[in-house]
Amino acid sequence: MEVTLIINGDHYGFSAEPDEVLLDTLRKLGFKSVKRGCDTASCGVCNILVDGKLVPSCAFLTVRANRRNITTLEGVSKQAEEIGNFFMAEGVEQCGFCTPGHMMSLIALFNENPHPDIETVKHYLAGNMCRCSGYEGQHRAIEAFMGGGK
Amino acid sequence: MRITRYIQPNDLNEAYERLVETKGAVIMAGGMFLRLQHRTLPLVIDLGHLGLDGISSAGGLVTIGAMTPLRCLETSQDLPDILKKGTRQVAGVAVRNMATVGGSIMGRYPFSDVACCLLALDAKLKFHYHGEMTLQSFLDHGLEGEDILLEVFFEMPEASDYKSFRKTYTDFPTVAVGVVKRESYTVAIGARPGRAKKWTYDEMNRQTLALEAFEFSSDRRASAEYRKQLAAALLEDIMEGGM
Repeated sequence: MEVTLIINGDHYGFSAEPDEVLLDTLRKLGFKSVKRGCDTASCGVCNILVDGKLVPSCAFLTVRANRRNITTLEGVSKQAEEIGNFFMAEGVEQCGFCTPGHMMSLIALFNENPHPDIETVKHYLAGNMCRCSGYEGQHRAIEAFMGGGK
Repeated sequence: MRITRYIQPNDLNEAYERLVETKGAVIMAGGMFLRLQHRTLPLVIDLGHLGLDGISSAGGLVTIGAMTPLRCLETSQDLPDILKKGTRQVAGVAVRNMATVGGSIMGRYPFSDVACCLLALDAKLKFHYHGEMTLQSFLDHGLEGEDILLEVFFEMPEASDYKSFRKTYTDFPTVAVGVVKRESYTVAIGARPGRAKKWTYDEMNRQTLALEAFEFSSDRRASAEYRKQLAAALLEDIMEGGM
């Protein structure tokens, strides 16, 4: 099926199989920030934005995304770098695999609610798994970011 | 999941005709559970272009379109507490932006928070071919033949609440309890582990906590006795919360 995807503002036209998912399409197109984790929409590492809404790309059919706006971490790198500096300062990353998914979730949250409290942040991030940590580093970094970085 | 053909019709009648004429055709709402199935689907009919989403309220009657994402229920200012609380821990935000109220109902899932909440609300369903029926009837008997769910509706209650026990924040519930107050109290219990059931009480009192009207069973998540004790504790929490 012929589809046109608008990825980070640029148009991409190609043929897609009806059961191809955005995760595979985006990685084929070079958007490697989007990771394959659980493949069941449970872990959050494949999170992207479609029309501004946070979605799991492993469960979103490419054909369904025809003519829709898709945002990956590559498209919000400035915003991600700003938050990422706080992640670095708190030593959040161990393997780093979950970080892009966390970033996409945070960016989606701040787009919806520019001034959430930490409980709202924790609720919003409940769908992002980190196998390395106990999430304390992420929470410290986010609180520091919200406290003075924004 | 493998898909042979995918269509996204703009007309409800066309979607229905393709569904009934094509053996093995399935409806795609959010597609969350469809994605997990190990089978080949000859035809997937995406309902995304039919305008079946949205929440409206008029004269105390609340109507929710079948394609409304669960995140919309969670954040709506027009819905009773039971639905806002009942959707909060269904997986993560990303999934709730795609999973729909219609998909949650049509699966008749025993673990469904959404079905439990809507059952407590005495919700009714409106189908394209079968017309209207109670959610209770649909959960108990399913449908004869294929159909497309259009909307779910209920009368706004005086008060409502929902509590569940889960081993992790976004897990399926081990047991779930929803309570709706109108002239009487309707208590629905889901993940028993069987499908949600409801019972109506004239008043909420200590006797209600005995939960004699409900059956509980054991599975690898919990024993029947533990589930029943959990359900009673959750119901007591709701009662002490001012219901």
